[in-house]
Amino acid sequence: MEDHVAHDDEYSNEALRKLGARVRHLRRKKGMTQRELSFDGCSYSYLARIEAGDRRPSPRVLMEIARRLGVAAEELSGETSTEQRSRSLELLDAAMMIRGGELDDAEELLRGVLREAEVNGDAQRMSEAYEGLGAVADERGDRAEAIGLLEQARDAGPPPDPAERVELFGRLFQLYRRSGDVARALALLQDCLAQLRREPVTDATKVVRYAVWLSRAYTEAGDPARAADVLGSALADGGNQVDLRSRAAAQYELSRRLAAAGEVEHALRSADRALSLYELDEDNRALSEAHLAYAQRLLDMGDAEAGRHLAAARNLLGAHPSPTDHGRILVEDARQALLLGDTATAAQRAAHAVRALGEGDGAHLGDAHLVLARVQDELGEVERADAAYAAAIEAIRGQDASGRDLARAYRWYGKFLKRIGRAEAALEAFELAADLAPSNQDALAPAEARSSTTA
Amino acid sequence: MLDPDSPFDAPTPAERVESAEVQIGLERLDEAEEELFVALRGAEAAKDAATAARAQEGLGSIAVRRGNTAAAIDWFERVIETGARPDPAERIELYRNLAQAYSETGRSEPAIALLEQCRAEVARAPDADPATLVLYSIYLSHAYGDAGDYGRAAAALADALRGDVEEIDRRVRAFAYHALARLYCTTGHTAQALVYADKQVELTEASGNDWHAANAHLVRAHILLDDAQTGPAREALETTRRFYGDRMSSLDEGWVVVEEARLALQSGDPDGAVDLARQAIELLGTQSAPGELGDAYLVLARGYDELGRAERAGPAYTSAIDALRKQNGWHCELGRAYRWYGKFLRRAGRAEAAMEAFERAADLAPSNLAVLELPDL
Repeated sequence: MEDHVAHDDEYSNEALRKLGARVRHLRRKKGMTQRELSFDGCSYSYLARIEAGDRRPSPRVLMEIARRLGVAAEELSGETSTEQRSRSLELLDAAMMIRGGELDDAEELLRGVLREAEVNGDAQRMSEAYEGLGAVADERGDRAEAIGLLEQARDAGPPPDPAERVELFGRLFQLYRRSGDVARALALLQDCLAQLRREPVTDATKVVRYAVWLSRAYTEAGDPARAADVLGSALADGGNQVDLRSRAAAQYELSRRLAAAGEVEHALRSADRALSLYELDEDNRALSEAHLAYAQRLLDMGDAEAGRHLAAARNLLGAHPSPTDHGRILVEDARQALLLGDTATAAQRAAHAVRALGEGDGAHLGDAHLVLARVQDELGEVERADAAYAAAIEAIRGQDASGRDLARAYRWYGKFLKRIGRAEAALEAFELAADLAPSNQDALAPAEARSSTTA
Repeated sequence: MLDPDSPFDAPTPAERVESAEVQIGLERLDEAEEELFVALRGAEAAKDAATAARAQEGLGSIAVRRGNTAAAIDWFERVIETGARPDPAERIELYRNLAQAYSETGRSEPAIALLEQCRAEVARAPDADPATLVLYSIYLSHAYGDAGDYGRAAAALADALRGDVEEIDRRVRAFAYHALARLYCTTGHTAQALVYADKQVELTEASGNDWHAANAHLVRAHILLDDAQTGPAREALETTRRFYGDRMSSLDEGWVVVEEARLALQSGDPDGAVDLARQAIELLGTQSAPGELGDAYLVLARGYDELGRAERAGPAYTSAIDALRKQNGWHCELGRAYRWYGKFLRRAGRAEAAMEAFERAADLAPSNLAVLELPDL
């Protein structure tokens, strides 16, 4: 008869899940199958349930699993020594500092952790320190440095498990795609998903999370069919409208207070909850982003089905979306209305989008002005369209360091000017569109003359 | 004693095909063609479908080499449509040639469909060879790139970067990195392009094949020049020549000289650029590489333009555009040529023509169309 104790209240689902993940991780590290690790009192099917976080093993079973895996039972159960707890707190602190924008302090802390880990030959901790440093570099906008550090995090020690290192893979994916390396971004996610699916018991939440990212990447690469395949059931799920970000911030505040009062165990628990809530919030945001990206692509193809995805994107952001998120959806609402020939609604939504995005940090404001310009153009409101194009260019000029979006805006402005017979202005706009397009930078000019031709 | 009329002396259709394949490699196309027609007739008479298919494929290859793409398509389609459809895992070259021929005649859709089908068939096989899968992914990315669909071109190349294909052979991996470097260079992502060009250089140098290493350094030099890194580009071109040694064909040399001409122009030496561009034009001839020829004419035009010799610059610009239009899929280079031509026309006071040229430059620029630059979440 199997010696086990059924799932009880003392042990939270989260603790059981983590215990299961640790057993699975250590078993794999030793190259053992579940059958090889099983023993009298713990069949392989029971082991599979422990690994899935469905069962809590008795202390005797836990000790035997630990012995067979060559680790201390405490390590398996997650009970940590004071020293280990303070180490975990260091990394948690660094993660929170990064979220709070205290980048210099976070970097200093992480450099210390890295040095110590290198001295101790602790590959896992080195990987986590590199990950933190990569996040710092990313927050500072140093994309190449961030990619390098995160790749070091991935390559230090045994290959990280995508189920356990979602932050690492998620950030690396975003960095690849933002730097234009679509192929690498897709390959990374495909590998993560394949690895998750190879697990005997798959972690559905993590699969959904990676699938959402992958689907978005396919959508952006212009392949909505593959995006839809990947997304599958993920898009059918509803969204949690609770303001998760505020709850996460509250938990973090609580953890700081508890830590200051010397309540390390409770502080850790609160910090852990805060991070889980942030993750949940990011899941919803990512899902919303996927719907938005999908809607954008459908609109590009003239498919009015986009409306359903815009509604889903809005729902997932909850009752209080940021002005930027709200504005971005309004931009697409306006495009949708334009597609359906409802120019009055399109004009109204585009104007609202301009207002909403103007209240935010100004990002995407140019998109809103561009849509407004197109609507006015459609309505034959030449002066208004002209003003909106000019506003779009003005807004994009402040945000677009690469010149890519600005070039696109000038191209559309040039076509408008040409249509209304302002040939000279159209010539200027087209020349700027041609000059600013990054793919036109062939540097076929002497070095000193280059700046004047591309300015 | 051997009987001169003995049937054993007459080559079999299969032997004729083999001999013709060697002759194609030696560019003796007329002899090869004659041999293949005889082989085809013999194979058809003997109902030897396999040999007939090989003869048809050989005739398609000859048509490709002669620039007769329509005839090539006809032959390749016959191979696929008559008898049992050849296995894509075994006949990679056949499918690649047919897809390329479709693309060259502007028929991107059948090219993409054919390669998607081949890739799917290879992937479905239980013992699928990862290298074959990657090769089809690369060809597919070329087809998407030719169609101007750079997002899907990049997505197709993701297969080459998957962790589980790290073990594929060096040559195929280097080829994949080359495709990525070219794609990202074309779309204006020079930093990413350099990452992959460096990887290609590393792999080809480690392989010990100097000719492949030279090609890799040449790609790197091209990207460095696009990125206006004149000093490193000069070093890369010197390394290119060192690796080529005396194994350069006139076509290889033409490509190197085009880049050297670009370097001269970038270094503020328009006289040198003009000389080198003229050499490149001579080396490249008129048929085999219209894209590179267009690049050479563009440098020539830019050089004359810098020297204030408008009467020569104008025709050189139009020659550049004509040549680049003949090269399938070179939207980026064509866009660049229109941009410089627009500036030339504007200075010459031809505002309307300049506007048209700039509009084409803006319309053709992949970065104005592609979805590769993505916003922060």
